[in-house]
Amino acid sequence: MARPTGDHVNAEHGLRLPWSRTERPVPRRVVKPLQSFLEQEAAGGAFLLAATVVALAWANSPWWESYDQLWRNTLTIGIGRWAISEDLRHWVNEGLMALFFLVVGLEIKRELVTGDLREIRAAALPVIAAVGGMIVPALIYLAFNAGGEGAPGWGIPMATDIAFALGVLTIGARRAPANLKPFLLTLAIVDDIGAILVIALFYSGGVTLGPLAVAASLCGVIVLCQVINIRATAIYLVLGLGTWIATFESGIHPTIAGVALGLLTPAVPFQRPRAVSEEAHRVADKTVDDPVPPDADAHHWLRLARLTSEAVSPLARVEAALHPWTGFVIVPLFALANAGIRLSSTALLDAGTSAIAIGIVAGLVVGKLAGISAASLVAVRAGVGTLPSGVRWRDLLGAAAVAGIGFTVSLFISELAFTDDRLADTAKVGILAASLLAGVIGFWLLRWAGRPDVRDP
Amino acid sequence: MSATRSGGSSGLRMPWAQSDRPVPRRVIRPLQSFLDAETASGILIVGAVAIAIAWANSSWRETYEHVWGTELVWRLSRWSVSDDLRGWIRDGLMTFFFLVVGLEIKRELITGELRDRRAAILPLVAAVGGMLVPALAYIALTAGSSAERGWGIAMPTDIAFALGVLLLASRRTSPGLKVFLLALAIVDDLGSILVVAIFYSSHLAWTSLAAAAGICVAIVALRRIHVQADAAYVAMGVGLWFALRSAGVSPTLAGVALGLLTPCVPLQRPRTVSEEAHRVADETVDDPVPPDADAAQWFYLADLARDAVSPLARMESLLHPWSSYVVVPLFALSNAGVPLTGHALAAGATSRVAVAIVAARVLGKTLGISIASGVAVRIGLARLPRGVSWRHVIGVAAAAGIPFTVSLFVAELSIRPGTVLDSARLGILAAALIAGLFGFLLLRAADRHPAAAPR
Repeated sequence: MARPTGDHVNAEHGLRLPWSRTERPVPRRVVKPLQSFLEQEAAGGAFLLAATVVALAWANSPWWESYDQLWRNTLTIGIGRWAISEDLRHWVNEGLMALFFLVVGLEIKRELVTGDLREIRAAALPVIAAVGGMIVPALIYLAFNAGGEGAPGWGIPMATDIAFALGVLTIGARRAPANLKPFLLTLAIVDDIGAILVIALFYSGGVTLGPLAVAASLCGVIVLCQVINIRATAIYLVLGLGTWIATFESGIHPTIAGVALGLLTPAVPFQRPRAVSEEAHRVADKTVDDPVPPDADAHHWLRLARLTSEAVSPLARVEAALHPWTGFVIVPLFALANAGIRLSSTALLDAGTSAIAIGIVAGLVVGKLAGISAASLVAVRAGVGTLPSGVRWRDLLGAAAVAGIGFTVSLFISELAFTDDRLADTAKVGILAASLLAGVIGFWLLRWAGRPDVRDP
Repeated sequence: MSATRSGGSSGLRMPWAQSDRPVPRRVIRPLQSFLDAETASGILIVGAVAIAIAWANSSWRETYEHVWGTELVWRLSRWSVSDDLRGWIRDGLMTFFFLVVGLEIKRELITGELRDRRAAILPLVAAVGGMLVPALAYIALTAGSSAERGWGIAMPTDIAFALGVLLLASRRTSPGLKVFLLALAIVDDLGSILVVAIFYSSHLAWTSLAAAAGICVAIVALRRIHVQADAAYVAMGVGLWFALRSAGVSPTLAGVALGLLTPCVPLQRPRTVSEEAHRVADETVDDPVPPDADAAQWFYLADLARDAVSPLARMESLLHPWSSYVVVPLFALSNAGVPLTGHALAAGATSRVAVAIVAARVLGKTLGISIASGVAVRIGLARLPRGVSWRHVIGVAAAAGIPFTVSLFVAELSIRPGTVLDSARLGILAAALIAGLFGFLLLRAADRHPAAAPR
């Protein structure tokens, strides 16, 4: 949701530019290039990659103890005898990541209401592909781990990291058909739905019904507030915070509260755009350039500002407000807090021989590629779905490989699946290796598919 | 508000509070126009005080202390911020109250009544008189006792209450009188803020104070280079609050500083924004495909429309309702619950603090303001505003004697919890009641003698 960029548009209208868009040295040489970089789709992936590299470098440097200590600091918020006390890593994983999942919820809702998932016939292929891409990796993982200590980790290879997958797709496939990206996006979002269901159903601790009922009724109150057209943001903030706390207390992973709030956000604007346009003309005519006293027109302008934002759906508004934070701060912070594993030779040797790591690598690299491609092939052959126009099988193969980058959500599930740090670390080595492999293979496949001399297999 | 309602005919969809459903129509909308009135805050505070007193004297009186004494703690490994709920309201939420006060002072100084230095002289002199005389009276009456430190209690005027009394007492208040009271109260606020900053700070930590000053300089620098991101200033404000807190100064002063540093000139020329508004309104469509395709344009216009208003007015319209209708009533609720048992009343009536507060507020304020104004006018330093008689000035002076929010605040800062503090609170409540009645009667009487008004 970037604003219309470009001083060339605004400068001629006599607008005063904020610091970041002026021609001063720092904005011109640092801020502006940074901003135009941030507007690219690969930027989130680049931040995530940088955070992962920093975490790995830090955890394997002479200062590795400071890495562990930092994330073990406890942050406590207490009133009287009631308190929430967690270490920083869990505040990131359960608190900040709730905002990431809120954005995921918003994306799912948009896909369902106005996007590709609205029509189940059109969405059949990515949905079936995603389901194949979840089941096959989980089965492959279980083939290595069933009955063993690694068995609880079957959900790890099911996930797809949207930021990384999109990043590789944008960089690797400059000539990819235009419809490949929406296909991958829809597939990844269905993957997210699957991961959320898995987290909620299989990786939640002992559930306490009281707080769960509170969380559910708070969601009910939110719906009620929407039905009677309450629009005050403060009310929804308080209700949302309450839902998070109730979910936290119920034993269900609190990020699920984020998903629920995302799904409950309306996708339709409060005002008809035309009514707002008319009002904008009116306010623009009514206000003067030099009011006496100054700010005599303030209530007109502030009202126009409010109406104008109401011409956009709450979904788009919340997304515009949160997306930069989740993409450039929260998810990288999550990687920084979770990806720093010690890669000593013994740890690597352990991982190399561990069924958990092997299961994850096989599941993500082979399972995703095979599952997505096979499911798509069956769906198309059976006449249930059709390839998006312009997309060839070799493009789909590349996208399927890229979907094997499980990273963020895989790391997330590995933290939930294993309470034993040793097992979790082994799983993380597997996730890092698998994500790297899947990325490289996907990148190479997409490159290969983009070459003009390649025939469709 | 009238502007919003006129939107009903133009096809705009009204939020619940402005719809024609029964609850909004019968409850919410009358409530909103009620809240719009300047006296509303005063009435809410009276309600909060009544509840606090009823609560503290009911059979659940233990829960009153228990609730406001509950500890709220933030701890990050060994570093922690902890206070009871009353303290969080006093040092935390009241920062927003003082932020609004800072905004009002700045507006009055730059574009309001205090801009014209000649016109500002009378309220300035009156306010100084109305601070010095009560403070001296208080000190004279409490000299040598443990309450002597609380002389600042006698100084501040409560704008909401004083204005409420003025509006209730005289139906046809001349605008000059209202402005006089407002300007006087704002100078009073400035004085009280200085007193709190200078005299009620404990063990100043100079490094933290330097950090606070550094943050203020940084805010000015950010403004200079036109940084407009709200997040930057919010972060600076939070930093300032913590710096002042660890400096031993009341952290609410962070609010005043931020208020005074807020620019009162819009970031964009209104005309430019008008032109952009026409353009965006023309370029956007009613049914974009995909939905929200025009979102970027609308966001852009929303930002611009906000920038056509000065940051000062924006902040005020955002914070004023919270400050008046939530923060100050909460402050009253958490502080006004004094026990009114016969024993406590007897102790209060005979306590030097309570007597000193009542005397200083009721007599000291009235005399101080009236005499200072009289002298200023006699020696030709200032003139009475048009349509204002001496009777009016004396009535307003009495109404200005109502102590409340800031006085309770100073009492909390200067007197240790215990019976003396309880007596001080009792004195403040009694003085508010007496000064309010006194001012009301004097203003009523002044209205009956319009002929006496000098032209």
